[in-house]
Amino acid sequence: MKRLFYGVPALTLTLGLGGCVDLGEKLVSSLGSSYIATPQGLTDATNATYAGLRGFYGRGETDYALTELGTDTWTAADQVSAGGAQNWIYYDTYEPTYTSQGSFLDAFWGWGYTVINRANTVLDQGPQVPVGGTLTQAVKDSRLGEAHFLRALAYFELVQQFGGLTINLHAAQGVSTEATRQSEDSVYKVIIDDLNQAINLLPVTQPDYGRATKGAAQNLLAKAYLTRAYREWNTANLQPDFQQALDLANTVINSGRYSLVPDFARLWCGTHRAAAPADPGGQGFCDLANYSKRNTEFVFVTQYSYDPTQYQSGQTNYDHLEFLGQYDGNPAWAAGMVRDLDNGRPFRRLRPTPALLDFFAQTRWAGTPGPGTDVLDTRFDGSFQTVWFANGAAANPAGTCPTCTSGAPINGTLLRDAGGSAIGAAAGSDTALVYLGYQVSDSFRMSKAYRIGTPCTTAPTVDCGKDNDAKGMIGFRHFPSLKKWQDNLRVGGLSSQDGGKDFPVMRLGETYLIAAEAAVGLNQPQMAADMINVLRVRAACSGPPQCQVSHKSDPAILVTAAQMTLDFIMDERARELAGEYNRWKDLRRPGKQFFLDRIKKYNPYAQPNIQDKHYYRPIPQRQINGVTGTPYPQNPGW
Amino acid sequence: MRDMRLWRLLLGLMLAVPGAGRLQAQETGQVAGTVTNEQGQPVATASVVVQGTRLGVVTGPDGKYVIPEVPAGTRTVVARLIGFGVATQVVTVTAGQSVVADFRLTAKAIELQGPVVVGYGTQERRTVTGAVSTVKAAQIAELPTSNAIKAIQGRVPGVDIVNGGNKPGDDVRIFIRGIRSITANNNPLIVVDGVPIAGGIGDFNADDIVSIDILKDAAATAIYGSRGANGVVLITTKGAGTGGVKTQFTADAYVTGQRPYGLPTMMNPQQYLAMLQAAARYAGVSDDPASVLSAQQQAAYAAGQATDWQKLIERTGQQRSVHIGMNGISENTRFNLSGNYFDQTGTAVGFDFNRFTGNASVDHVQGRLRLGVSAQYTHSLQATALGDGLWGAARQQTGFGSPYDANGLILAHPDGDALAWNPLKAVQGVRNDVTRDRLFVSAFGTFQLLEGVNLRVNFGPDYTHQSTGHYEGPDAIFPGHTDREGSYNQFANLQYTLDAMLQVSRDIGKVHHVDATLLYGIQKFRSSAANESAQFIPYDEALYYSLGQGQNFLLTTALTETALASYMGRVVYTLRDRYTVSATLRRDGASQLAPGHKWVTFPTVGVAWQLGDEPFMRRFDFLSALKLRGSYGVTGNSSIDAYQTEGALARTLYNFGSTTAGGYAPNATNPANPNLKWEKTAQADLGVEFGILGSRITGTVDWYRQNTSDLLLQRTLPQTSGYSQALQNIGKTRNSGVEIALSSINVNHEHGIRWQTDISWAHNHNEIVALAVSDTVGCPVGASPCDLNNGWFVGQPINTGAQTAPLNSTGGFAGNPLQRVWYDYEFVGIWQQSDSAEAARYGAKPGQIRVADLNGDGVINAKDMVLQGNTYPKWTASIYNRVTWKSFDLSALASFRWGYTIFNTYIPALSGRFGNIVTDYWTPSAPSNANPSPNLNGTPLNYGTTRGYVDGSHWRIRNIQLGYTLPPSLAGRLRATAARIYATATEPFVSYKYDYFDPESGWAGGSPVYRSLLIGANVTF
Repeated sequence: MKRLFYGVPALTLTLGLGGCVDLGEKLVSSLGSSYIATPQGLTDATNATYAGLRGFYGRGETDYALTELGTDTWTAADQVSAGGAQNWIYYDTYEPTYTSQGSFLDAFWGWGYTVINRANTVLDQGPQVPVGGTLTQAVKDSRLGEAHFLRALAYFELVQQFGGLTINLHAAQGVSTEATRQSEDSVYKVIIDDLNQAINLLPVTQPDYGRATKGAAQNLLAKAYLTRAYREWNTANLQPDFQQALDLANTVINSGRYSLVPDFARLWCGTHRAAAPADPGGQGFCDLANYSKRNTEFVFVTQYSYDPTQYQSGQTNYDHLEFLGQYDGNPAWAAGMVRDLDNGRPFRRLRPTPALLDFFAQTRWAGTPGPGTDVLDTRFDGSFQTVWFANGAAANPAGTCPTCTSGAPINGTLLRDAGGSAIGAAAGSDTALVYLGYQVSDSFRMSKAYRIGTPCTTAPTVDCGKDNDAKGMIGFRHFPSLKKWQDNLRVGGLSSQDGGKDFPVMRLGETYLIAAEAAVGLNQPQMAADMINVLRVRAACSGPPQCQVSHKSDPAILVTAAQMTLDFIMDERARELAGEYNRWKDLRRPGKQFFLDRIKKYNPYAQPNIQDKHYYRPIPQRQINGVTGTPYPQNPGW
Repeated sequence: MRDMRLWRLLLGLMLAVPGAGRLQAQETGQVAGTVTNEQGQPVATASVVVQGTRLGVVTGPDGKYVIPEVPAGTRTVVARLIGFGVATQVVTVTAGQSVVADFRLTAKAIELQGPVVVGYGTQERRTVTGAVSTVKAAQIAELPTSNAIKAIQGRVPGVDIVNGGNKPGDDVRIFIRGIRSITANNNPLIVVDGVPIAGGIGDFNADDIVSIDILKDAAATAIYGSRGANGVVLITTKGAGTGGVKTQFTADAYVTGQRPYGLPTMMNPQQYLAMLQAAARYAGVSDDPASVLSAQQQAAYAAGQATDWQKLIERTGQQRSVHIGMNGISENTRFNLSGNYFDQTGTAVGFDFNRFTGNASVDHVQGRLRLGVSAQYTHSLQATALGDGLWGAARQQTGFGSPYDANGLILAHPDGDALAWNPLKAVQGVRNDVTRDRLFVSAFGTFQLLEGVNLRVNFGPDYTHQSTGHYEGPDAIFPGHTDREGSYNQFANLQYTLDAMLQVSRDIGKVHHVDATLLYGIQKFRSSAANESAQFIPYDEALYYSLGQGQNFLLTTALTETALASYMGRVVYTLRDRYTVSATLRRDGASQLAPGHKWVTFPTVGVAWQLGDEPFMRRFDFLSALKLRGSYGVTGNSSIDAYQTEGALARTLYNFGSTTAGGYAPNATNPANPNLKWEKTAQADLGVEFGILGSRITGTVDWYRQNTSDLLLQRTLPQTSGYSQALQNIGKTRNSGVEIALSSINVNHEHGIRWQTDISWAHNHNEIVALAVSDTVGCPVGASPCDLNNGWFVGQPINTGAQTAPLNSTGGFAGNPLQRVWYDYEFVGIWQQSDSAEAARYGAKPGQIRVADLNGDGVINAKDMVLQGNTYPKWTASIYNRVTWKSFDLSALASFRWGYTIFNTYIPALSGRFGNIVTDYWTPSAPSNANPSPNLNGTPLNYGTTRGYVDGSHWRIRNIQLGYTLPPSLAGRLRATAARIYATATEPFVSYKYDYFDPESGWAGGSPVYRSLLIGANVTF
């Protein structure tokens, strides 16, 4: 038995070594959910709700596909359209391949409910967090107000696309796969209630730039009332809703907290940096070197950053890619151009419809469009890049029209057209490509050493085909590029998709248009005209070098009460807000017939296919598939 | 603490049983000798054991062995080796002396007797109640590779081994008897010398391995409890004392050449231009070459410049291995030292792998105490630059132009497309170096309490440090940043296992034998990781070694800890050496599961009956052996990531102005689940083992059924829930199957030809039995309920990838290519011009892909999708033949995988921007019905995936080896005791219907498979 005595201690030692191993889990590299109910946790949960906004605003294909494609102002460019191949062409054409399995629908739907769930965690736990330390009553009120605002924003985005929704007013507790769908009416009630609470809780200004303010909540509420006003189930509240929209918009306009940026172009771009090609005409690329992200006109923005901690997939703004036409790579077009950071990476997803170019042409010129006519309204040049400065090693194009065979490079001179109007400049470099807003003769083309692109027709409702590129005309691949989102500060080279420019969700310019539209609804055309004239005067050209004389007090820029129709408001919105990710929602606001009529009239690719059912987006198939119990209702016709 | 008391109670009971026996100490001597075959040549790796004891060794390359510490007296010594009959000798061991016992083994088919390595010990195969398959060193050596597991590919029925990748140093995937779990791990437990290891065995040198035993059913795996739910691979390394009375050296070296095969043929510039022009005409735009080609493409075309980009990066791969070993024995101490250097250069430029391993084992006996430690250190470097993406980059090129400019410098964009990178630029400008250092130690101590009663402690720390250095030079790869960027990511994993066990092996009277094991074990795992990255690194030479000189640093660190505790008791009782019952009870606790659900008990029973030994069976004299066995048991799976029960918050980032604002939000993919518990598998196995014609033919047949419940499921949720996914215990799956192994000695002439054939065949049927959802709406016929969001259908196998389409939204392959169920629209051809009116109803036009409108509602939508097959083979099989004649041996292995559908990611994209596979396509004048009209842009076609589902059934010759063993006289001239030279061809022939990729991998991405020819020599001095 003696040896047994050796064994027992050995065994005991072993058991001692192992111990009764602790099977508890201790989370070190992350935090548990109870953290949110702490003073800092409340702010952090609110911050996370803002971060959720980046899942849609600035999210490349998703945002433009659901807000700009298939409208009267934007249609698919060659990367979406040629051969009908890119599988979300149906957002432009409304063809039968558009189904509830469509791209981006689920991403957008999920974005909304992610923001809502994050806001709900703040609203559920926030009220119980005791005030103290850095969490003053003012900060606590603001966080709750911000969460109300953000939740309303998400519901508002969703309801405008899908109609009735599942309403979650509390954060998910456990996992439930059952869901019911509430009426559109009840969703608007939630939005209005949330925004009223936000208005009560939010401060007029925030110490942190970019947090929601009282004005932002008022502005959103104005738009929510304006949108609800037209709804077919809302006839009883039609006038009061228009009145609320007008009053709230006026409150924002008169709050003294916001003002229009004097030069429209400065909303998006700075002046050209010293080393860049001089661009006195303001028609070249959008240079962010001298640009301030903060301006007095933005009421609420989704913020982006070039900070490397945020500069990673899913955290950056992809919108700089989508609206650019091809300027490089094709010798028949502009051999002097190679792709670079300033001019951007042309994804060629969207191109302006002839109608959009026409809406701009209606106000752009101080007279008949053509060589020598002065610029009246700066919004086209402030929105579009129409001049490219040669940057390639290859010679500037020899020949700028199909029949041209030679042409001398031009150096260091301000380019003017035959009538003396500025159309771009090239200090120290050549101009390679210019888009004009009117048709020119072959002899005019041949007199220039740069490529000229022109509309193939001036009829606003005719798109004369995709194969005009070789004829020197605007086509599927070559077109003026919307430069509002161009981002030449992005890190990582010209091919990088990661942008850091802020995404303005609401700006004061639109607030005037909300007021004008409400005034039209209230049959107060003079009020509407007054609102629009504020924007018109701001947009008027102030003099050289953009134009020969100032048009700030030119009566030609002004509108009259007689012009104030809903269609005119939509035309003006196109000029003011082109490509600002609102158009599809704007068109559907006045109702189904308006929506169908406008699109059929101005988008020849949508015209044959668009039907009643397209007024609502289909509920994503994943939602339909994933709900257990009572089936989730699909929208009619889908 | 309750469990501790239980343990002590059991311990007391166990000690009481052997306590009844004799307690007298004995003096010992040793047994030594040589094992040879019929031709008198030494036989290596034969096992020699002293019957009735746990004493036993394995012979060395010279056939010699020594068994020390044999109790004095008359002992029966048994020598065995797979493929040979058993030889027995009775010797008298005298204390302090050595007695000689030489054996001559005669060839037989797979032996139904002999020791089998089971968990925590070895057992006589006669009495094993579970399904266990064994592969010996000789078979492993036939396929020289970096990874020993690859060598048994196709050898064992029910064990599916598939390459994880074809880059040098890539690991393999192993599935034993199908796939049970959707979300939790399906990898088997790998145990090296009794110690479960963390991760794969790619770090181990195949030359150090003596045997691989695979435990397949519950009876066999039960003692590993939760960790053994997916089967167990037991690896026995040479360890200490492989025999030989004096020190000996072994050197093994080989070299090989490797060529890729199965590469698609890409369009040349002429074919590409023709396709573009067809696309242009189809789109209604100018087909002028000046309009469809870029400036550079036009120039290259005019100059007749064309490049075959795959050829440009392809090279002959080489693989080399040098192994040197030395072992010896002194009175009470045995040792084994070995070192190996392995390197492989891939079949594409820039892919390299090298590895050093060192192994030292020592084993010392002092009285009743035996201590052993075996340590293996591995250092490896896998350099892959761009990785598998390099082949993609090559195929992305259109073929126009030259890779170099006039000065011989590499052009970044040879055809002018800013998104098509020259693969040579990536080889030059990108580094991705994975350095691994691993120290695996297995230490044990046994103390003989009484005769046949041992106390054993195993301690096995396994430490891995891995660093991945990544560097990208300016404009080297997509997306083409202009600066130099680098990252350095590292992790350190420490896992240790500590097992204390009491083992009893006693004969009680003449007819009873009891083997019993009691165990308490713990396993802890700790992983810490640190990742750093920087941009704007000032100069190339810094690579990832001087990130501090850059800017825009990013830094993350992380810690994960898990723990597992187990109690286990196993009793194996054998009556008359004929009837065996084994019972195992195991209780496991896992830290990853929710409080209150951490502990679970797994019971298992097994029986074995040597029917062939019954007197009434003697009249069937053709039958030399017959054994029946059956088992039933429950195992569990908890291998999920740590911290999932709590629902950790997700970190978010935002900024207010220039101030970065961190935040925390509920994690949309991981809500808290306080009910997360064990996934359980109950399995039954029935087996027959037989030998006929004097065991010239032997075989094993197994039937099994496994029911897995409380399936740990990562479930996609409707987004209105606030979450996108959740891990839950939901659903049931079932695996059932049949496995057959046959072995036959077809010809056996003494001193002449010997021909042996082994055949294995396995069928496994995997299906989902129940799901969380009961919805039948929208489910395909015969597959409801279903979960369409995840692609799970009752009655169908498990699908990974959380979707039914093969490709994700960015065009990448989704999920595991071996575990997919295809659900898609049905391809019926191409819309032809005569169909144009009908096509228009569907928004299509002639030249586009036509899919079936199954419900005839005039719309193609989710209701028209159908099941298109799955990636699970209906059966797999292998045939192995080995012929020996005099000193020559020739062996070949053929394997079969049949009855499954794979997705061909090489379906012609027909897009007019990047490189294209040569194919026909639809044009108005030559209307194809297989491929649509090409498309001007690099964008996917509508329903493009529907063309991709192809039958993956195929067979292949996996390897052929020809060897020559030098006769002793000739070897002697080299002063060697044994010498063998050999040549091996791997993958010399593959037969399948699709031209251009290996269907075994399940998809076409990544590096191509390669065939190789190898020449090697093995010499022992």
